[in-house]
Amino acid sequence: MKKNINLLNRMRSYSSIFSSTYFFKLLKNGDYKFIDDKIRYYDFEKVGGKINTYNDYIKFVYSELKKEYRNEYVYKNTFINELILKEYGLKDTNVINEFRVGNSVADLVMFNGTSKAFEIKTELDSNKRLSGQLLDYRKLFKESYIVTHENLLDKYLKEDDNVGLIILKQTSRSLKMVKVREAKINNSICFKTLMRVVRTNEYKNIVKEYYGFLPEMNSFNMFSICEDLISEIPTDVLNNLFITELKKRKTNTSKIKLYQKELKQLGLAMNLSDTKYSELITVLNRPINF
Amino acid sequence: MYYPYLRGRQFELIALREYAECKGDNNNIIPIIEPVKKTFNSMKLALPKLIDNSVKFAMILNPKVGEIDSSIDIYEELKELLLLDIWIPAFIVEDDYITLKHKIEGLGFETNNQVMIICSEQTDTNNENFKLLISLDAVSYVVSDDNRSLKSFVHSLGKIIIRLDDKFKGAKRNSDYLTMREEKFTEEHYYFSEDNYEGFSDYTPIISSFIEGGGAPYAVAIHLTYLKTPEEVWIRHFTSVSNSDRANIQGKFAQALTKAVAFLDEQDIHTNASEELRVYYRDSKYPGLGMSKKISIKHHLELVNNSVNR
Repeated sequence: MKKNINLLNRMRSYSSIFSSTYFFKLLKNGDYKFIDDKIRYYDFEKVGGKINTYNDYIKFVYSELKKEYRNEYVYKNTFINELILKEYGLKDTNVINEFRVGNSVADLVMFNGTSKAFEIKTELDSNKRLSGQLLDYRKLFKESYIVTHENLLDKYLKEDDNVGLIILKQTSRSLKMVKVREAKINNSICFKTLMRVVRTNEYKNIVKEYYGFLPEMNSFNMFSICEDLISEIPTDVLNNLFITELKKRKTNTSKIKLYQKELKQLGLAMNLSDTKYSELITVLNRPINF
Repeated sequence: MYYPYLRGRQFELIALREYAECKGDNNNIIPIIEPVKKTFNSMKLALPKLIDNSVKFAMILNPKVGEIDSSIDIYEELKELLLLDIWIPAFIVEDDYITLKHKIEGLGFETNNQVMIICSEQTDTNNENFKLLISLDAVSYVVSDDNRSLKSFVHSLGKIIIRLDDKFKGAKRNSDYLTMREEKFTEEHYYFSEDNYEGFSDYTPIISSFIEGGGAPYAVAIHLTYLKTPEEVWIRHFTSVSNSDRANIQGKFAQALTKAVAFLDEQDIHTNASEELRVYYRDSKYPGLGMSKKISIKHHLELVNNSVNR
């Protein structure tokens, strides 16, 4: 029992490493403390053996989490490696991390020919907010998916049968992601939700694209003028205009294939440029020395 | 003298430099600037404007918040601007009395007996080492919350004592200001000399804790100080009303601005900053929340500068 509690504490502690806040600080101020603390506390004796650089340590921590404590980071990262890169492909695709819709935040969303929202429910999560989240995603997205562990499949199959299901499968050597149920396509879109999700230039583009011009307006009234105009656009057309705009939003989706496999989700969440990413790798490749 | 304590962020520094340019011949302000950014660009744009318009300033050389750590030498970064008699080297003292004393004794530049010591919550002003520190010849100014025994000790040394008050607590969320139309801000501008202080200090209409970043807020609030009576400065909060989500920040600014301009007109308030607000209102233009903060600060500086009871 004691061993299990120690393991759990260690995993919880590891789990906090993959945070954009800490990695931004590392890049900006060379602040390794968030990693050093874990090494000192749990893995001091490993340094000098198979672990020499910070990057070695990050890889080690990630493999431990994969085995013992599959948190949201592991899910997202596996999702990127196994589904986005191997199956969906990146061509003409925009992937956005933590996308706010209504009162919820979708873990990952994807825009290509269609729009998909993914809600991750790990073994560590509760499904308390799920029905509200799915309701929110349906206001904007054509397809909604739950991504969960294979052992929880039955529980989530009972949810709303419009929602698709993707499971994380553990094999002896690695983690796989498999789609077990397609989402049903939802063509409706709520203009009010849309207005509160898109940026100013995006709603202006939608109006311009559909009406061919922008009406006279100023920065104080443009939101309500555009909202009125957008409310008049037929649903299917609005849905396509929305997808087109979000595909144009600048993200670093096309770069994720270049990122090291443990760091893909981090790179996406931090929206790293090529230079920042190579800076990060340089910083991580420094030897650990106390 | 009023010693507004400001963090060296972009819009605080713009407020300072615009204040320096619009204040006219009359100046009762010596800002205390705590640098918080590793890049000194905004600082290098602001300081020459203060210098050209004869606004003396204190520069904190050991900031306690923000990005600057001990590896950055603020004086080295700014030394071509920091010429004698136009600035006051300032240090925040915690309980590091002896270390700080050595630091001041070893200062590489000519201090001309001008150093400012700013007491913090950890400072024990009865500590003998603290007394030795402020007794240094180089030290001329001591900044502390209201503290009578310290005041008489500083006066016995023939130095200047400034009281620092945390006047603006701020609400947790901007929408909370909807139920708080206004609150008292300060009366020190009127009473500080009667209370035997040479100057008074506060954090202007910005909260004293240093919080960085922050996403789009649910509500927009514009804060404007005004003289409710000659003895009292109050702060009024003008808050947007449609606050259920983060969208349409421009429209929310318009709601807050409409209230603010109505108040300025009703009270017949005219400062350089208030006229700027009126222009945004007339042109229905959204300048960004940073500019809104700048206007609050600049307006406050102009107001206090014209109200200091000498």
